[in-house]
Amino acid sequence: MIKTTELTKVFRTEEIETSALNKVDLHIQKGEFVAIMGPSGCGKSTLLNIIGLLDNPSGGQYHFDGEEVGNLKERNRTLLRKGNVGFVFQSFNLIDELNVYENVELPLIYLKLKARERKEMVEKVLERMKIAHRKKHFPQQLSGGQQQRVAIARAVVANPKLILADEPTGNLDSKNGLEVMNLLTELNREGTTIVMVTHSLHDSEFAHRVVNLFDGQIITEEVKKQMGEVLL
Amino acid sequence: MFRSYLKTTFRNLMRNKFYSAINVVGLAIGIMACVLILLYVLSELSYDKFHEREDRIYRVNLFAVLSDDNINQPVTNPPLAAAMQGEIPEVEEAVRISNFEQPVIRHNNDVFNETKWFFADPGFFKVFSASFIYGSPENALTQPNTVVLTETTANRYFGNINPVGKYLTWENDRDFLVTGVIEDYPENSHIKPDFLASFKGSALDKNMEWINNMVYTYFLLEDGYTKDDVDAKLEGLVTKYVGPAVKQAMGVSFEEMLAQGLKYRWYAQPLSEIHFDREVSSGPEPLGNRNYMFIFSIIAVFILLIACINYMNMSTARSSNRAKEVGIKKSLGSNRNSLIAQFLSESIIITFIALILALVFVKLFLPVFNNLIEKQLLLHYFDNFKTIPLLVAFGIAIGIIAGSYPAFFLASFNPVKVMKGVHKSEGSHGKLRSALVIFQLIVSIGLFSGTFVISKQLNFIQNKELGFNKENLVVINKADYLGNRISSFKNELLAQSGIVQITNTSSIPGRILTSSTFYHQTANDSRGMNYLYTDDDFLKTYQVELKEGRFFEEGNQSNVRSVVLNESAIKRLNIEDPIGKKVYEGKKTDETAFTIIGVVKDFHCESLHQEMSALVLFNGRGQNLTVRISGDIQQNMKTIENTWDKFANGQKLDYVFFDEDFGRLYKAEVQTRKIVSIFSALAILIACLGLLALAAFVAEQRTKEIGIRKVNGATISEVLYSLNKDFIKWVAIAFVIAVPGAWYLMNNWLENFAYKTTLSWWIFALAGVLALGIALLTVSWQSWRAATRNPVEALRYE
Ligand SMILES: Nc1ncnc2c1ncn2[C@@H]1O[C@H](COP(=O)(O)OP(=O)(O)O)[C@@H](O)[C@H]1O
Ligand SMILES: [Mg+2]
Repeated sequence: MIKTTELTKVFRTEEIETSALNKVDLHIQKGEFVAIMGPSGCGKSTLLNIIGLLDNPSGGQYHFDGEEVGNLKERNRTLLRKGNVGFVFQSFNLIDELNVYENVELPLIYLKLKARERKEMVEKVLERMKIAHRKKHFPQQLSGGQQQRVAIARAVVANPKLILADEPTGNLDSKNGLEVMNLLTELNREGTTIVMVTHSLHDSEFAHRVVNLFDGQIITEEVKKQMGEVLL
Repeated sequence: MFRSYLKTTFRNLMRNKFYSAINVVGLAIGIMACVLILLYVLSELSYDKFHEREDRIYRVNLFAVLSDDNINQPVTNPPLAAAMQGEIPEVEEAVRISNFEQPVIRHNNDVFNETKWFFADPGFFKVFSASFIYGSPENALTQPNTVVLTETTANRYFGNINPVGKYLTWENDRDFLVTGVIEDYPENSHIKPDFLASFKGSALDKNMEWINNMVYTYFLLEDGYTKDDVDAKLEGLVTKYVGPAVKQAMGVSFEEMLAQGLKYRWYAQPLSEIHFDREVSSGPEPLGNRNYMFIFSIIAVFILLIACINYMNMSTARSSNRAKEVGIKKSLGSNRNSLIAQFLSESIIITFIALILALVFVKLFLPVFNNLIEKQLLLHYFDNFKTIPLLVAFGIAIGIIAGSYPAFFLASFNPVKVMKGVHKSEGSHGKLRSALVIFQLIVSIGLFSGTFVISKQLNFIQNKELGFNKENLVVINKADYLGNRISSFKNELLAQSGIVQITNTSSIPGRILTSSTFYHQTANDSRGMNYLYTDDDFLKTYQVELKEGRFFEEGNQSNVRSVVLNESAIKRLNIEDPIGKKVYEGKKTDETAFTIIGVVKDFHCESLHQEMSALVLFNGRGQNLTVRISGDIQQNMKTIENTWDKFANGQKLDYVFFDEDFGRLYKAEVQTRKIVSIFSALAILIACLGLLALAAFVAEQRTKEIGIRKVNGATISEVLYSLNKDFIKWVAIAFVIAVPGAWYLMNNWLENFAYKTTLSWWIFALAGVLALGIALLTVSWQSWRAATRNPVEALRYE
């Protein structure tokens, strides 16, 4: 589903040039749960953003679902991303001015779904994330764990094929963290491909495979378990 | 204390250059607009105030009701002044002024057509003030054929030397001795002579006709009396002098005429009321319009408010940047009042920076503004001891208006919350901010609508069918100078190429027409109507259509006792089958009977402020020649000038283009359009500066939100929409509020015209769309930048 070849990313600011990714070859299959690990600043988020079609690589190729997407214009990236990719961030990234329901509804609005359909889908996912009783609350009124559940609900509400999570447990205590990991695992079991950046070895145990990044390059990959095992 | 305020203010200004520049420049433009309008309004309101005895000077006006005509005019008869002086003890000095001659004046090789030549009685300088540069007020006008020049005029003829003792030649036949030079009269004087010549020896000096109104009469009231004392005695003079004169002229006694409803009254009008009293027809200078002054003042205040609102919105919107400062100061023991003092002095300091900038702008733009409004407004900062303190007070006032709300708002921050970063800048004052922006937009849309309505009306009256063809006409003034040579001049000129038609008339459409009373043969009551003397070629030259009968024909002996009327005149006299019927002028006698030989279609002789006027055409001569030309204008003017010079014995050709002359009827409206459109442009400019800053602020504040929306699938256009949505809503609300007001006001304004354009819906729609377009363009500049930003960047820093 995801195939990058010699993917590079260079950031240019006025004075300096940072090479965030250096010839990354990564292959992720449909239904896989991959964890990306590595020290701070090694390019994990950058890789995730490119995989998630938020950003373009500076070089190399990127095939998404067999299609070359490395040079897409922003407009087309948005079109491709919509409904196909869901994001979960360390800092939740909920909109403060919108309540839980409205936050979760957001991707569906941009998919131009009808209000009735949206309502149905949002209610369902809120139920599932056990946050339905809080749907009128605003993000600031929720605990961190609840906020992250809202964020996950928003990421999955449109039934995307791919979920990208950037340190989803980074701001949570271990109990809430575990809950988030269980949710992700459940989603993966249902067939969603998951790519997760994490610092936590514990979290990485949930993945099929761990990719270790250092200074913009993949240094090791270790397979934790076979996909089949998980699917059983 | 103040120094520390000064320091923080400058630091804050420098820290946010973008917002500071917008604040200061916006305020400066606002103040400039305000000062320009204020100068204009103050100049209008201070008309004639510079005369030392200003509160004792009066003009005698004539109020009369003759047949169905009302007259309220500043022109009275020549013997009145002397009678007042002799018979009314409350009158300290009465003087006559007349400016109805427009002579050609020569000195050596300089020849000028003069339009501001005034005759005045020797007592002029006892009533009115003048600063003499050469000569003295006591004996400047005591001798016949003496003249006092204004400084500019003296320079024009004599250069920089003292001209006293030199001569000017009047119309080739009289020499005037220059006896003095005075400073030019200021802009705000309702009498602005270039020359003041002695009434002694002028044609009207010895004129004793009590019903021949052709001079202005002014008088100086004795200290301690009121104008009512004089008004009462003027009534006596009417009975004593006008009565017998009327009887002699009309054959009917004055008492009888009074019994029939005639009214004839002289009354004193205070000098201070002359400029704005529109009940009385205008004197030597056009009248002012108090309503316009009121409207302009409101516009000035609104523009200033728009600029102040920018300041308020920017300071409250950006308050979170200052919140920390407030928190720290408060926790260090600063109290609310000292914080308010700090923020207020900050806004006053900023206002003063803007004020100084504004005064520079005023200096730069005053000449342009003067040019546009055709005035000579002056701003001498240091001439008047009151100017500087006034400006300082003005600055402080604006600073307080703009600064109070932000000051109270900022000073009320709760230090604990602020330090924790809990402070949220939205909420109730976000609503106030929208309300203020909406106010700015209401004013802008209102001003746009006003500009469009005025333009539409001006277009309408300038393009309306007048009933004659006003293009390609050249009017020669003072053609009566040619005397009997006039027909040979006509013939010779007509023979040349490019000259199509020529007609000789006593006046031309758009200028003051003479009026008289007319009777229809079967009626006993008369009607006041305008009349005009024309030769046989009037219809052909002006291309007026004949409706029935015939026009005057060359060599037809009956012409002299014939008249041609326009349709309105027929209607007014209520004549059926008019051809061959008789009308009488003035009184019903055989000598005053005229036979109607033709009827012409109505054509407009007056401005479209007035209804179509009834007009009677007599066959005769007058001082104007109107020439219809075709082809190259300069070539034709050369032809006319050369031919004129052959006949005129050195008299200079005095001509105007008809359409320009006629266009002067709408001068006030043209000027108003200029002023309203300039200031509506300024208003929207300042409002846009505010919108720009606000949009930048909103975009900055919503960076994270935009990032999140984009991550969740929002396209650039969707983000743009969500950023611009509020602004669009504001324009829509402003539009809804502005339109009824603008409609009402403009409808009222149109009441000034007998012929008015329609207040079409699209005028207001256009104003709204324009405001929306300008606002969106301004806002989108910022929104676009925010919407196209990579969401990764927006979310990276947390
Ligand atoms: N938008 C950007 N502009 C400039 N440099 C960036 C940008 N994004 C990331 N970088 C740099 O690229 C490198 C990788 O960043 P990132 O992918 O965020 O690391 P990680 O997520 O592994 O901590 C870092 O050195 C970072 O400073
Ligand atoms: Mg990262």
